[in-house]
Amino acid sequence: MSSALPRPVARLIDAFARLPGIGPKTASRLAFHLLRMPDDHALQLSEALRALKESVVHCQRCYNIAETSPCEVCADPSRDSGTVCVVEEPLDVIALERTGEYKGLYHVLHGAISPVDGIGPTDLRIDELVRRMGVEPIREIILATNPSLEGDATAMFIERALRANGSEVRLTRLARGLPVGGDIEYADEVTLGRAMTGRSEVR
Amino acid sequence: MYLHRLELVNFRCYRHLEIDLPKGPILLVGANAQGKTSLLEAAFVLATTRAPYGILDRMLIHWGAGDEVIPFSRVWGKVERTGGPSTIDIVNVRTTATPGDERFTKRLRLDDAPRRAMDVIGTLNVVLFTPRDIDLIHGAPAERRRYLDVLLCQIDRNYVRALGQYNHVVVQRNHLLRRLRDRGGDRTELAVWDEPLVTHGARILSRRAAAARQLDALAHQLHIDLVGDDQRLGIAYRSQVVEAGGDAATDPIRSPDDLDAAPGVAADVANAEAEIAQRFRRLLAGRREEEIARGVSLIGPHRDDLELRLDGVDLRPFGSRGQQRTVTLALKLAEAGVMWRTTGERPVLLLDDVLSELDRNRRRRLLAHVSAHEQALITTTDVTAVDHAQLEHATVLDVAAAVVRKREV
Repeated sequence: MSSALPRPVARLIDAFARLPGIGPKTASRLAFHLLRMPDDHALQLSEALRALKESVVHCQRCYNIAETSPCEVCADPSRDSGTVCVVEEPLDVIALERTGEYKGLYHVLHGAISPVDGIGPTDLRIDELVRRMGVEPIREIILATNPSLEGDATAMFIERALRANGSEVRLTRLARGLPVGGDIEYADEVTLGRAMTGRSEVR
Repeated sequence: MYLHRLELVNFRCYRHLEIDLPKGPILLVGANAQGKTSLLEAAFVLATTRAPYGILDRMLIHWGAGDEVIPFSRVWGKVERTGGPSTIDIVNVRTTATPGDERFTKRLRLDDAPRRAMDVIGTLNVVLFTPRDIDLIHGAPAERRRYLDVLLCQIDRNYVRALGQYNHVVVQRNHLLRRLRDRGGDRTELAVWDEPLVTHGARILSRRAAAARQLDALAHQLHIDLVGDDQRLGIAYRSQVVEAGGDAATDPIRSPDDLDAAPGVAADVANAEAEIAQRFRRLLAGRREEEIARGVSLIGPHRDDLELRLDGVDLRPFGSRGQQRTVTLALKLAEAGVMWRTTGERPVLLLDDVLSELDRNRRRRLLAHVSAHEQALITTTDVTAVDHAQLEHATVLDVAAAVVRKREV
């Protein structure tokens, strides 16, 4: 940043520019916006940032982000502790919770295997999942990683890791197929093909 | 099929062009650098959504358009097929103009509805021949793989998808192999990349092998028709995986009659695919150590080649320039033949500056063959190179300084 800028402003701009999706222009716009903001609003933001780093923890059971460990879901006795849904990111938990359909527990990997990005199995919470298998009464593991090459590779790795450990737990993968409210004629052929393969009995 | 109408905005040397194109041979006549080739490139873009020969998107946009607020180029075409007409609209917009980091976004529409590239490809089928296609014979294997890819992508949507996924897997897998080479570590992770490599790879291999067999059956006769003497042009797909079998999947089809008896590319490959996948898996297991030692994926369609022989002699190192030219032409016409047999529609031929490099007899033979196609766009600097008799059925368009005019004969 140019030396014409007071150092605190330049520092903030640099900090913003490190965020994903924010370039130098947006970074300086945000910084100047904050500069003109009423003091208490700006301080609220800094307080929120501090709280984020100080009071958000990883639940030591499911590794979701939470205020406490164990998290609310893990501590809830009404949830089925025999089912664990494995997801890539905390946001996936929120999406699944919104469905209201799922009553089991979660396991958050914090990513997917991607050699290009330098992310291997040891960078994910896979060992922790294997360990959970040993101590928790888990009957079913639902592999809910994304239906991408990386998500599929991660799911396959977990499957192999669990089987190599002698686990005979029931392993399932989220169904793939037609979106609700969609038209068959507009579905692409891979999705439609998967939907056909994964068809289910009419109940 | 044929391209009935073409509209260009800011495309290559054209600021604006609207032109109706008839069926049959169309001769685009003009001096060098007047915009003849750009018209063929536009048709290629409509067919594949991409520029030929790795020309960058930036270069498709007219240089003068750089001064506009939002520089863009547009190629619009109306295609007539047996099933009725379709329109394809491809707009290429510059979205970021930071110096050194220009970015472009492509917007595709089919019949006015936004579509993915995969859904647009195949609406118009073309076969493009330009003088630089000589690289097909003596260039790197990648040139010959691209030839097969351009052919197969236009006639098989599963191929487009498999190719995209496969390339993605190879990148991931190579990163992992390099990491294992440099830093060691847990090899079990490789297995999760082997599986998609094999699945998508087998899909690509089965289709490439089938296409090569059809090309082999067709190109032989086309080459004889073109040069007038009976030399055997042989085409074979060289792949460690496919050749590890030695079964029906590699048996050559020796004549177009056999080809008629054989099912089309799509049906032919279904059985071959599963078997190829098995062999692929076996070969991978056998070369695991070598792959890790070298830090790169050593087996699969990205390492293959297309072998071209004339009377048994490998053309890749030994072909003369004349041979290379006629063999390339035969390959391109065979490509058109495979498309026709697979889709039931003759693709549009795009022949750039092909006449000047052929002698009179070969020129006549080529034009005779071309007239069997529903439409062909042929550029030339010199219309006198064409026999009068053959000119009668053709449309002549004069191209000068990016203006196209129909010549009244």
